[in-house]
Amino acid sequence: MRNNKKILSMILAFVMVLGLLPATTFATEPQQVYISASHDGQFLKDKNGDALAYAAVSLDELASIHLEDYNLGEYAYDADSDGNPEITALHLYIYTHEVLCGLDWDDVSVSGSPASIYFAGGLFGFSDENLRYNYNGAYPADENGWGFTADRIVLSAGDYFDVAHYTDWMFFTDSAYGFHYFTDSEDKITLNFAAEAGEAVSAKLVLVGGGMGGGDTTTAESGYTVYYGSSIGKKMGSVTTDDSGCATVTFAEAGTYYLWCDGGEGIDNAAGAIVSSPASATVTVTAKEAPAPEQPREPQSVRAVLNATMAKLAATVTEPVFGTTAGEWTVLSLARGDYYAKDNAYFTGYYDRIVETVNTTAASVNLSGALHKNKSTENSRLIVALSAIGKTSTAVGNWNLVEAYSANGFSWIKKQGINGTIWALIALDSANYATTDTTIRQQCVDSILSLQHDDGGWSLMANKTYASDPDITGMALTALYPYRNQPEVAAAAEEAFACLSALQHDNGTFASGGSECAESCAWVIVSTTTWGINPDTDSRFIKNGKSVVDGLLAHYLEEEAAFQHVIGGGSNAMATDQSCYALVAYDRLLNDKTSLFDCSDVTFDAAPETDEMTATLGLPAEINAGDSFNGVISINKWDNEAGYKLIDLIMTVPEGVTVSDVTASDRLVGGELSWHLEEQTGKLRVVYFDAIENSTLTITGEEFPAELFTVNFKADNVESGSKLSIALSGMSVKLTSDSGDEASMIIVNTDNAMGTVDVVVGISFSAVCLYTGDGVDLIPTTRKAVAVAVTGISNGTKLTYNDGTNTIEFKYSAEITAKTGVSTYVAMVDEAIAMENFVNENHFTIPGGEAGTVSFGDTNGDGVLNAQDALAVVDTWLRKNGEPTDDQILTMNVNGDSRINTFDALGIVEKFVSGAEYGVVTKAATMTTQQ
Amino acid sequence: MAGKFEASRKKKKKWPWILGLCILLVVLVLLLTQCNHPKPGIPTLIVQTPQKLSASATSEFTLDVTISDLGDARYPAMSMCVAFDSSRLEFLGVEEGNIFILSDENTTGQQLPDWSCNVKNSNDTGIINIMYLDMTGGKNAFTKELLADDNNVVLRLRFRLRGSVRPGDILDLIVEDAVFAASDETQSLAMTTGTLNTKNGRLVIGE
Repeated sequence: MRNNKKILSMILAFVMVLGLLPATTFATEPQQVYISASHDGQFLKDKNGDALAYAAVSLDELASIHLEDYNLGEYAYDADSDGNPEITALHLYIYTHEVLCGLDWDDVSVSGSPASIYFAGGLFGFSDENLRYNYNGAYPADENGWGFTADRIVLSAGDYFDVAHYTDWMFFTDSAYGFHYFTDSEDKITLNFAAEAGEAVSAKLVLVGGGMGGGDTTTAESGYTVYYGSSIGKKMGSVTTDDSGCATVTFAEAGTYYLWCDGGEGIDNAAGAIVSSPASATVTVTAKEAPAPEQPREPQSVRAVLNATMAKLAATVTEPVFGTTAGEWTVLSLARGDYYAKDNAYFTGYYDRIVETVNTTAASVNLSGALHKNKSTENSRLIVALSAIGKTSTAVGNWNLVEAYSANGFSWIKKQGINGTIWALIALDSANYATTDTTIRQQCVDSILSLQHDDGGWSLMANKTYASDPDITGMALTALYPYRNQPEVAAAAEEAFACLSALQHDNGTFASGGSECAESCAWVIVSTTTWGINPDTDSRFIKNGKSVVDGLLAHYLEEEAAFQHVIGGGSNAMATDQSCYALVAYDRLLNDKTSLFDCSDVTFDAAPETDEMTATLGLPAEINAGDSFNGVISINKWDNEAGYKLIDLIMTVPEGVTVSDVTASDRLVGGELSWHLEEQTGKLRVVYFDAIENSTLTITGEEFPAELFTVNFKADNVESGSKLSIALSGMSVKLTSDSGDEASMIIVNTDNAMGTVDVVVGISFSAVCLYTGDGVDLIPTTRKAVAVAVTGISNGTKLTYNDGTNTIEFKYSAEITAKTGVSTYVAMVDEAIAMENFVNENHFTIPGGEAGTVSFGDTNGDGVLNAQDALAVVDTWLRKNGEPTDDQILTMNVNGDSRINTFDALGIVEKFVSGAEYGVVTKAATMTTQQ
Repeated sequence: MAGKFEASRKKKKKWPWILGLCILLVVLVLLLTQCNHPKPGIPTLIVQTPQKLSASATSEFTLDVTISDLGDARYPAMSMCVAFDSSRLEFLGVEEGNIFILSDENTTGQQLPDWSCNVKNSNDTGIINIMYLDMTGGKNAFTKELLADDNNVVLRLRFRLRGSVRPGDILDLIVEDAVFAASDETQSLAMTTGTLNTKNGRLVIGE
């Protein structure tokens, strides 16, 4: 026994390790070493009463210990022979003894030669020396198993010591003897774990035994009690290690915590004898980082795809008719997508054909305006399309399509199941049609609600065991939107959107019948946009970063400007139709317009279109006495196929005004112009015909009203302050010279072809709004083009507008000036500025100098109109260029509508090759001005 | 005597100035002459000049408008203005040249540009304005790749002599403006920017 005691003392004295040290993963301060010490499985206390468990000691502090001061100079160790002794474990021992534990070094008895130092008494002496220590988790020994003494262990930053003392002198013989450590998931000894609050920490408890001439052994400690708390000894709780030795602890709040265990009893030695060391580790718990707020996804523009698709539809379906293909859906897209104006021949022609079809079909079905005895959706589809183009469905030809729902009742509507009820609601609400049977709508709503599946969706089948279908779910949601104030509807919608979200695939698409398809995506887009939900940015409809809009666009075939039903399946008419109006719905949402089927923004025709030909007269609002000015005569319609041979008109010219010239518009082709002013009566007579070949008169171009003639007046003998009333007193268009044939002549309505010109003194302002952007193609809704005519000013003189808030430099337009005879300036201005501001002379200054000029169509301002200008418009419309500036809008929007598109490019081509007047110039000369 | 000598010296001193002025004049004349010639390395649009025409000829004839080269860009638009004496020459229309434009993938065969021109307006004004505009913005553009020595006719102008023409008349066809327009305007070939040379055509009328 005595021998063993000596051996153990030697172990203490001949402490080990010099050389390779086991790697550790604990976080260390760069210049610190750590020491722990225990007795019978419990950590010793330092002078403050804290557990001496891996106490940190600065290497700088150790460097300040001079062994000579302790009469230990002979143990100084210069390992690298550089003349400077190293910091060794002997320094750490002295420091721990004196500084950490506050003991007197004089209590320690040191003996033995260098590399064989021996301590007795003091901190680790106790009454005897039956202890052992590990250096960096292992027995520090040379290749022969001989340990190194403290004076020969050179310390480096991060090193750690464990000293364990036992009452049982035979502790090292017990098979349960050893040092306890916590290891990480890679089985590396770890003194400091890290976790987020609420995150589980898994620490594996191992026992490192052996050593002292044999190899170290490491075994997992299963079923062992591990404590945790805010400091060692201050338990918050305990856990038992599992079969793999792991203790798993979760700390709810941020802070520094400790895991520890006591040393264990032996197996072979005397009962109750402790033969292993305690273990400890810190756990640094940080506050759980709040997930970084997701960057809001910017809604993508689909305008380029939408434009191309609409253009393709328009080119493919040139004459839409009643039907599911090449019919109502195409009309819906092109009307709600603002591809054509409501009065475009595309829609008027469609309506004419519809009237014929309805008259024939409804008479044939003979069910109070029903277009099919079983399919109410025939009526619904048509009503939706007619609402989109501003045509009432209560009087289509001889029939009231809306009355069919009331007259034939709910039984007729539901013959097509849920499809019938959904579309009846969409149709009736498209223009808020009143129904004779006021219960129809609610019957439809109740029916739809009753068919909702448990998962919140709907399918075509009444049997709820069928899987919910995104198409029908989207349609039902769309139909229910106007009834959202009903609690049952609101609740159903919430569940339905949750269902749709759950049905979305990881690539953003939706599937119907097992196939991912464009139509399903389309209807999710239509329904979400109807409810004001952006399907491109709402997280419910984004999966893996792919929105349902992405999902739909994945079906797009750019080279065909069409959509596929399924990806890889080739373009498909129905997929293209549905995708197109879905994109329209999305685009309308982005532009704050009413939803796809809500046509409350559409101006409906108040009365059936008249066949009457009507003339208008455009005049400047103001002139100065002596000025020349122009009157522009236009007509609302013209039939090139009618064979018109002659136009004549009589205009009343006021006294004091003479006519300098009358010219025919470039658009009017086929005749020669003659005119005469009868001065005694003030009657100007104009006739236009082909006296030689009696050619048919035609008007080129599509835009109406179309200009026919320009009359150049000169106000020679008029008084300032007077008003000049000028009017067309008669106008006719003739087919033959047979005056006895009523059909040979069309009397043109000239009731509104009159105007008054104020004769003012000096400078005066009148204004007209040429157009306001509609936000569709490049002209924002917040901008409008204003033309200001100024009397008493030299052409091209600089003109500045300032109302205290806005300062605007107007640009001189030589083209409009030439057209009206009055100096005219144009500018793009904020839409919010009231037009009356532009006739208030106090808002204008004429500082002198020359104004900037605008030359319509000359997009690059090089003074030459050519292909470069036309191409610039095409490229701008194709979005190859950036958003146009105000000046570019002025020069590019040559037809003076609310957008920049290929019509403007064609306008430039026509101007270039034929000298055709720009629509914007005609518009400026013919519009009613603000005075 | 001394005064005379001084005067003589002064006279002699004027010669270098006169000589310098002459050289300067010659240089200026050369420079001005040079300006009227096509700049080397720049594509040239040429209205080809035909053989002398007979004043009594009543048949129609065409003049090729050729281009010597194109740049590396795509040119989705082209236009030209040609002034002519419409009192002695009647313009009858534009005919296809032999320079193809890029074709759509779905188009079979090669495409020639579809020119816009107003014959009546041209004869009324004495200016022929012709334009091609690719509404796709580049899919049907002119490119260098489709240009060759035997495929360099942009278009053909068809004319007929009017009865008013007389032997000895010279009828010039003056290119007033021309541009092969690229989307990036800096790559366009244009008269206005000096990136396109032009050569006018001339009809010489014989017996």
